[in-house]
Amino acid sequence: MNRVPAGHTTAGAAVPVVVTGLGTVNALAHATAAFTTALRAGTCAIGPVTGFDAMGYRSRIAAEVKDLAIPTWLPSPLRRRASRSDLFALIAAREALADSRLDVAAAPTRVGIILGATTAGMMSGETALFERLEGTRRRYTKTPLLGMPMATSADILATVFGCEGPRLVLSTACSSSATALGVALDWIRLGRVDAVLAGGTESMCRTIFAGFNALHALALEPCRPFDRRRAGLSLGEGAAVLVLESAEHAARRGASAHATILGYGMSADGHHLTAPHPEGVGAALAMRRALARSGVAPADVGYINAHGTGTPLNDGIEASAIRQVFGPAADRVAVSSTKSALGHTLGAAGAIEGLTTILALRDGFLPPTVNLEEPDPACALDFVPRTSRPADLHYALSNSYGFGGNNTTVVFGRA
Amino acid sequence: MREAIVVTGVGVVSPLGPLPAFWSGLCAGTSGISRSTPQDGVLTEPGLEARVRDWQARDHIRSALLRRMDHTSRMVVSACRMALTDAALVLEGARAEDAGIVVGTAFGNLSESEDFLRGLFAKGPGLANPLTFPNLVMNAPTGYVAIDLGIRGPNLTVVRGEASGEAALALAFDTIAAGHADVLLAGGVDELTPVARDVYVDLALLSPGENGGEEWSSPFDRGRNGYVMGEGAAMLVLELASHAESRGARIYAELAGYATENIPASPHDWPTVAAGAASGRATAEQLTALGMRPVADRDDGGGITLVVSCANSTRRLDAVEAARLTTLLGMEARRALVTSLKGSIGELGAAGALGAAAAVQAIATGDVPRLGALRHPDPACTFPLATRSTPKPTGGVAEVLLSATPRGGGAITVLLRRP
Repeated sequence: MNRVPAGHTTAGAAVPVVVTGLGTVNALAHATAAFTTALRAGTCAIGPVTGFDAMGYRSRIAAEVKDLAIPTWLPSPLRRRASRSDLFALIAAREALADSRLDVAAAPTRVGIILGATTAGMMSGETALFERLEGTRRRYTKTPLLGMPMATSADILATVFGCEGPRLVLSTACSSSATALGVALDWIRLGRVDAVLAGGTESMCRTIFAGFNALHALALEPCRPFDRRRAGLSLGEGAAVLVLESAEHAARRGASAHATILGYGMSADGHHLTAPHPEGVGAALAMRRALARSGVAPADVGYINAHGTGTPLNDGIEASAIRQVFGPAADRVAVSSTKSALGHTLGAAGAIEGLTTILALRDGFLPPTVNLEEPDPACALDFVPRTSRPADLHYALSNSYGFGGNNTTVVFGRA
Repeated sequence: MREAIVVTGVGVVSPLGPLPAFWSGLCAGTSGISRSTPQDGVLTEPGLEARVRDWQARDHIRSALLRRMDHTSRMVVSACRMALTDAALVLEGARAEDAGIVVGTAFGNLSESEDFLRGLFAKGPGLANPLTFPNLVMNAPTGYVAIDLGIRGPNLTVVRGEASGEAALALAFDTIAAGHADVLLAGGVDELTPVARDVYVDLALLSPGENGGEEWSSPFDRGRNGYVMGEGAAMLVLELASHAESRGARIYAELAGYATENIPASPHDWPTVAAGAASGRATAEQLTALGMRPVADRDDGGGITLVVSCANSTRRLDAVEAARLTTLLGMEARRALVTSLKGSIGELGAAGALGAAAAVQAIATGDVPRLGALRHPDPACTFPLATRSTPKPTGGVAEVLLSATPRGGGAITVLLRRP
């Protein structure tokens, strides 16, 4: 785009937006501090599936959220009605809000909500359908189906936390919540809101597990992105929610920032519903658009949190797209995949990986690609194998690509 | 001053047929609702439904791609093709590279999800269908559009329950305003499926489940008793005004913007009527800031404000809308004309996209969609309703509001107006 986007001054400088709150629940940890520790330690949370009977599946491993109690602070009707996906979003949002110390009640209509999701409360919907097919239930009842409409998670957050600004749920497969972070940024720059709870949530369901299993896309061992022997992805679940806020609003209330969010770029492959474009045209386009809109040069980027699913096709094409965009600077940028530690969380992946990228910038480290033993020579980038390293980072990217052939790259900067 | 975003093309797949039949049918108050025929292997009892008609996907989509597509994708790709033809817009080269799409849907490809799960239940995971699975993502239609048209700009799918169509227009507006694209296809889709019908029958949401009587769909009627399920897709071509002008395009209408308002509600239900009545002022303020003008102040020969309401023939939602619109329209209530499409096309999550198509036609032609089934207007409607006997407004239609109040209370109101 040559045009100067709205929210940018004629000098080209965008209205600064910062991240003032972080919250997550995933297979590694149920809060951000513990998540940071596990991430730096290079822990892998992928193990045998326990959430449903995985007999008959080729792959029977995933990164599940374990030992999650229904929070006592949740209002009582929601304790029964919230889906697992809703619960993840609630827990992550509460942590992010507490972290940001944002007083939503001071201006409730100025706080928006945007989430990414792909299946919402599908698991209990599947159970309801199966019970009817078995004949153990003659009619559908309301409660198991309440989580099926995907917008519900956002409505629940609005109710529980009193946010009265705009709210949306995006569902663009595995790029959903990366794009949600971007749209939140646009809302702030367009002046619709001062702050946004932005993130994504995803809970395991049979449809997804059976679908990837049938496509032979699931690895039999924990996924190993960018490894020569990589053989597929591992599914995960969880949520991450960030509080995005105009820098001016944050400064006015004396809030400190974890990082800045500078811009994002979107693209479509226009090639195939599941296979990435063989030349990585869409992936490269999303990175180029994101960098251009952020005013960041490739040489200034120290870290890329890759989409890095661990499938043979994705990782090779993503590495080649990075090389196309970064040229010689590709040799100086570290690239890693968080999916090796906590699986592919689909609709939540963009938000969890965005949060990971922010931690890297804030705390000065490179999160590792956990199970990487033999880096694929065809990929040939610094994939931070197995152990994290300290690094002085100024700018970092987070890539997210989804079924349907759509791609989003988000650019973050050190606060 | 922000540059205007205009509508230059419309494509429709609907229970009344494609755009010309859709529009003439709506103005005549024609119903696209009919009785379903029993389907093999499906538990569902036949009932009223609004199924798309007079549309063949193969007329719009080349066969190699068509074979892989599900019903919702076929509807969306067809509607995009029709909208681009209507806009006389050819997307190629740099224009295709930057053009994008935003689709709203409540449930996406629910029918193949159901098939997939029935297969999983009956045959186990070893025989689950790998060919169907990629189609199950909510964004399959936008993915197919990118492949079909070769467009590489933003590729967005938004899910907002019964406000999914309005949400797509809102997101498209912001996507253009933020500079991500100069041209977007924007609209929505939802489909009829056996499982959704089973659920809504069991939950007594469909007519006549609410309070008995005959099965029908008649928004704002005193005797309404639940909704009839519908399906369809509508896509609009949105362009920055300068882009449309540079290619000499016909401009139907301006997408002036949107308002959001939180109506306190259970996250799983529509707001109460009292909450509906207490809402509307915040929306009116936002719309006024977008340039919505009182009829009396218009210096361009007037023209009514038309409201395309989400009223769906349920006791609750129609009463909420009646109360909310009374507050929202305020002094304008007597001079506005309120209608709903759902007596003609039934209820679907992306109804707002078809509402937007109708809004654009109303502005372009000066006529209005009529409530063909209406017998006894609900006295809670303090505003005039567009009925079969309502004449075509003199002075035409200057402004249209699309009003959506979804479950959870996150209301979206879209403003379209004469260019």
